[in-house]
Amino acid sequence: MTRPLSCRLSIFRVAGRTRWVSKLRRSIAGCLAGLLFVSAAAAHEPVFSVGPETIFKGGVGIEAGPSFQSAGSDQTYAVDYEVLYGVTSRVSVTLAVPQILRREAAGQSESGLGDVALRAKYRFWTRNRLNAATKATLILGVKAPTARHGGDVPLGSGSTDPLFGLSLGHESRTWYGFGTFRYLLRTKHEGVELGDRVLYDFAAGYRPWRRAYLEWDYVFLLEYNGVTTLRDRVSGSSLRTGGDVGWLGPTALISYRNLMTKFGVQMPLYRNLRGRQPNPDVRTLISFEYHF
Amino acid sequence: MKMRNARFSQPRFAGFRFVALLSFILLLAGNAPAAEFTLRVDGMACPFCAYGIEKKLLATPGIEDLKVLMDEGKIILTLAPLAKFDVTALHSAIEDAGFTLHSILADGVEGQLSRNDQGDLELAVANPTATFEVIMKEPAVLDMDTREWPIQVSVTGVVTEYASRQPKLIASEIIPRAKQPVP
Repeated sequence: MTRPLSCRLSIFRVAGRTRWVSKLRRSIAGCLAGLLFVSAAAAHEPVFSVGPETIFKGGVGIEAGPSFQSAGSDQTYAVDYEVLYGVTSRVSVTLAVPQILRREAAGQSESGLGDVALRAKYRFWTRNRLNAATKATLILGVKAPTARHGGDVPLGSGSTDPLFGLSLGHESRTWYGFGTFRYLLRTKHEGVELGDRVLYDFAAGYRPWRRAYLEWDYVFLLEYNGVTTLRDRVSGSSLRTGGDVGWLGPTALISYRNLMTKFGVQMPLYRNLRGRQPNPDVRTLISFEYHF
Repeated sequence: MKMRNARFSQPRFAGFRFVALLSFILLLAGNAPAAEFTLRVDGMACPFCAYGIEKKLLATPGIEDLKVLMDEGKIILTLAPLAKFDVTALHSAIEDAGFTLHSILADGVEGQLSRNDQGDLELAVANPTATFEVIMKEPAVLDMDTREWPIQVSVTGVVTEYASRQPKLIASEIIPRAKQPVP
């Protein structure tokens, strides 16, 4: 699922000089770029993070679903679309296209296309055993500034940001465990050097009923997602932006053969944001994924 | 494929080499049912991920139907009548799905060995009961004679006849392994 960037740019006049100071007002919930989230996958993965799974060679997956997040008076309603393709059994590529239905901030609202992201996974290590698999995957992606980034309610960051990451996962007939580390290298936008973002995710899952192949399958997870955003910089000066947020919440994966439904809700377990940023409240999503 | 076995290195079997078929050839007469093989596949933890195996295997020539047994980690394949089953293609299909083929279990038809003009033994299915078995009395290592897939296949079982130059071989399990130097 995508979380388009939400920012506000203000101009301040100080001591006779006009100094552009970027007062970037970001809803942490709204600042997560599309490539930070993953939906389309070949197997069970965390809902609010990226997992180590790839799709079978030549396989195609499509996913769509609504999401919602709020931070104070800032709210974002979006529908996120993803297309996944298996180049090989070890390499998959995903195109994520967010469509922001409505973003509200400071009494105003906007809608439109979010920042499109392209993401690739390379599963470089696998250990398959009876009814279990352990995997390690490298993640590489880029977010393009396809969204409108000006105005009072920007829909994107205006920057082209590459992403690097590593994901480890273990799955079995009963238990799941995932750990992912990602680094979002945020670039410049209108003279502002956006602070990079570090994301670290952990998830544990449980399958209470071991179903046969052609039966509905249920997996429940508890996901923790930590986000550390470094300060933005303007002309070498650091701004009071960024901070740390730790999200926690339950998610569920319900599937039948090649169709999966995912949904989850999270609230911040920990918040420490600099400056006058609205504190995130909640984020939730539901999506439908189909493979063929 | 070439099969090596300590028993067959005896003078009686000097120069004795097996050329086991990579493909399980079904010589069915009339309306004989299709053959079934059971695969042990590692990595199948969830039904959603097993869909890739279904997709890849059903696209493999000769495979008519399949049944996935999640908890056992097995897939029961049904071959079309008179289908020629390519073990290499099967292995590739499972790898392309992201899983590991642990072993193939073949129950059924007795395989008759015959010696060809080159002096090698060929293994062919002659029984119309639609499945194929190879049994040897001692474990033997089959060298897959293919450059695309250099693996060794272990065959275990019981040799039913020694006296004949055409012993029956029935395998209870075939396990693909990484190729190793033949001792």
